[in-house]
Amino acid sequence: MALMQISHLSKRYKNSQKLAVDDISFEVNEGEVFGFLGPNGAGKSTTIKCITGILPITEGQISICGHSIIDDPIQAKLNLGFVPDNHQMYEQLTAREYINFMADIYHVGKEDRKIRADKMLELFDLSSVVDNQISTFSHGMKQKICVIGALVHNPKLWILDEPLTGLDPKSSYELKELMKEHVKEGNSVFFSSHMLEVVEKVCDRISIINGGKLVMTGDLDEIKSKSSDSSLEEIFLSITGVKEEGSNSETKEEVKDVFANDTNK
Amino acid sequence: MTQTSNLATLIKFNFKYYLKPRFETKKDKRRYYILMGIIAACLLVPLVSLIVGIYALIVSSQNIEATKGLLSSLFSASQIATLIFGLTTYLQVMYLSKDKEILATLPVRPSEIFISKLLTVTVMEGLISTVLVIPSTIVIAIALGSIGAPVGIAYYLLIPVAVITLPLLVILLISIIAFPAMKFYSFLKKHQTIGAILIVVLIVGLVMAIYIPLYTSMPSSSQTPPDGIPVDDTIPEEEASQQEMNSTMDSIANIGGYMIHTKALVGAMFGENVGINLLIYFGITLGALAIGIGLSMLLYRSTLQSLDDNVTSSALVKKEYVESSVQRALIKRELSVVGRDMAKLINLLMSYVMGPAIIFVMLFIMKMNSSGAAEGDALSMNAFSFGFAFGYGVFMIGGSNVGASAGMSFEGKSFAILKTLPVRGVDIFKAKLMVLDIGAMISILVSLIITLILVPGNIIDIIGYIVCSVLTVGSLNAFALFRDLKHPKLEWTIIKDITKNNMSTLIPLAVAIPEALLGIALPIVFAIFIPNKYLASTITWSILLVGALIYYFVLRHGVFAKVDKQFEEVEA
Repeated sequence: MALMQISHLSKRYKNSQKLAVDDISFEVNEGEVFGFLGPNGAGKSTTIKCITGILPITEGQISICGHSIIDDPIQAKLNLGFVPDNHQMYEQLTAREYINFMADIYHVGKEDRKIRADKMLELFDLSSVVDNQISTFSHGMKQKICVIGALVHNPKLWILDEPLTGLDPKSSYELKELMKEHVKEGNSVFFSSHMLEVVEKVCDRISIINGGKLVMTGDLDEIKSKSSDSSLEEIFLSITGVKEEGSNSETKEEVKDVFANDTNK
Repeated sequence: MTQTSNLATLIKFNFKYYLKPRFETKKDKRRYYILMGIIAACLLVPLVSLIVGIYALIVSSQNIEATKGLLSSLFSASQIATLIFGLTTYLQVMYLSKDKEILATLPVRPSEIFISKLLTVTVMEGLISTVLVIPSTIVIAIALGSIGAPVGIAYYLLIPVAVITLPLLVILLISIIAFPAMKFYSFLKKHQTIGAILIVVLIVGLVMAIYIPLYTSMPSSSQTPPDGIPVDDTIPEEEASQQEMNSTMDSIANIGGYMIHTKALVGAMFGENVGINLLIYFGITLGALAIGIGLSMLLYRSTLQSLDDNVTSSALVKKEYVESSVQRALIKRELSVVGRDMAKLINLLMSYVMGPAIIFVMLFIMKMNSSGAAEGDALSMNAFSFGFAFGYGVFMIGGSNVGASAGMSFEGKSFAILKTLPVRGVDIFKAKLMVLDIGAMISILVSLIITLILVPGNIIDIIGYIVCSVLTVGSLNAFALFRDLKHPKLEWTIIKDITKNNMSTLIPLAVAIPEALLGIALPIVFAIFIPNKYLASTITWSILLVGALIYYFVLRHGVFAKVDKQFEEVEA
């Protein structure tokens, strides 16, 4: 059964003529980790912002656990937990206040929030600073608090935008383990990443988006069988056109020349 | 590409960044200038009244010495205005901006960054004093010309000097205010609420410390005429009026006499001991400027050092998880997000605290001046006081509350979090509005208590004031917040970025003006034409209530139904 269904999603920004996301459709099934790949500016973050209700949709439908994000946004949002790529949160709050706030909004009882938050705080080595203001935290610590806040209500669907960026190796490992644990219980994880080796190891299925259009969806074996390239990195570079552009040695030489001739250095 | 010095580049950048209006579309630009024109036209009313008043006083009194005192007072008033309106800009640009880390990585000296920022702020503040100084000096020249005492060439030559140099002294005052707050920046970084309150209290305290002793030390216009002869009831009306004008002129001139630096500048403008007077003026101004720059630089360095602060040590007190309802959680979040951010809280408190503070100062001065007045005048004073408290409250607590007109923009990039939450936009809107309304209600109540302490009001004035203020200010809060939801500015580095070229912060101000002016004018008009004070109050507040209800139904009543749709449309 699909926990998230996206059909014919298109998004055009207010002051733009161009579609940032152009008629994309895919599903995220129960019990799978789904990777969402694409180069910078391909439309990954725009898609995720549409899924989570941050951006209004131009055309199409998004449904989460059977609830439309347009017609029934509250129920749809209650079923997802979102970790943004920029770690935006309320920096004036303490970590505990932030977790409390998220738990209140998602109707998590006092005991449940304590058990879940304490477990994750310990996992991420944050128990000792839980009553400090978030503004005093490092980049990685903020990322971890963001993850805890998003998962405190144990949502069916996790949506993580570049979740591993900024995390230390231990925390990165713990988060990947949490993701695997979560899907084992019949839930799903949808995440975007540039770390292709991680995607290759963790994901059951992937989608690749380029120029706002979905160019490929499937499990890794399926994708590899359709391509002459052997690794996900090579497939990604071929599909997104980077391989061909990258071979533009003339441009590379021109850039080299500019730096070589720079007398200001 | 031409190579310019770092300082010149920074100055150019800061001037462009902070002073040059930027618009996304031509339509935005046109709308902005139209609105600015409307606001300027509205503000022109008090400015023109001031100019006409100055002209009338000079022509009527024909007292050149008193005119010099008057000009000196006006110069001081321009400095006070610069202080009040420029302080938050100064603090935000100099110390609270988030670009410190970016600038620290650039190959420029901290002193260059400091000077470029200080110069930008000085120019921004200079614009405020220009509005007062230029029209006042010109009308004084015209008035003196009309009574056969034309001013000399030195007067005209020193007008631009006055415009440029008068704001400089304010730098010292601002540094004094900022010193305690910024000196303990590291502490206040962790206790931003205390910092914001400290700054607002210091501003209010300084305004009162400057104004009240001056006014209490000057002779009351109603008690004693300038030559010390008691008022004679038998003198003809025209002569009494003349005596009143002379007395007012002397009272204002008396204030100017206390301000040594502006008195010296005025002396030079009138050609008296030009060299010595200019020496005194520039000595005081440049001396104060040097101390001000020294203090500011010291503070700037300490805020740069604060980048080095380690504040992630474990908290001493362990807290517990607490469960709340969704609405309560949203209100708690709102209080923490605004209340613990010094820059946001200063913007909010400035309107809530400055409103009652200025009402107190103005009414206190009026009370001092009318303490020996006839019964009829005292009654007019009472009626005017409540009207003034209402009108000024509407303008300050409602119209110019940046906390409301930028309440959504305050969220910045974290607005995206709100959009991902499983709550309706209107619930978030209501939580924000409730915080704003509670702040406004407290401010309205404090203003009422202040007014009642100074002026015995009747029950109609009290009820009228409360009902009309609550309705009007509440409506302005909802209107301002909704306007900001329609056009939020979520990409900002400092709060100033939100208010710059932002019509959402100007429109509530323009909308507040009609009811505010009505509140100030109606009590005076009816006190003159209707002898029965209860009847006058009833008519006054009935008209104001109609106005307040119009505000409520147009600005607040229907707004909640539109919030969800508008909230969804925001591209965070």
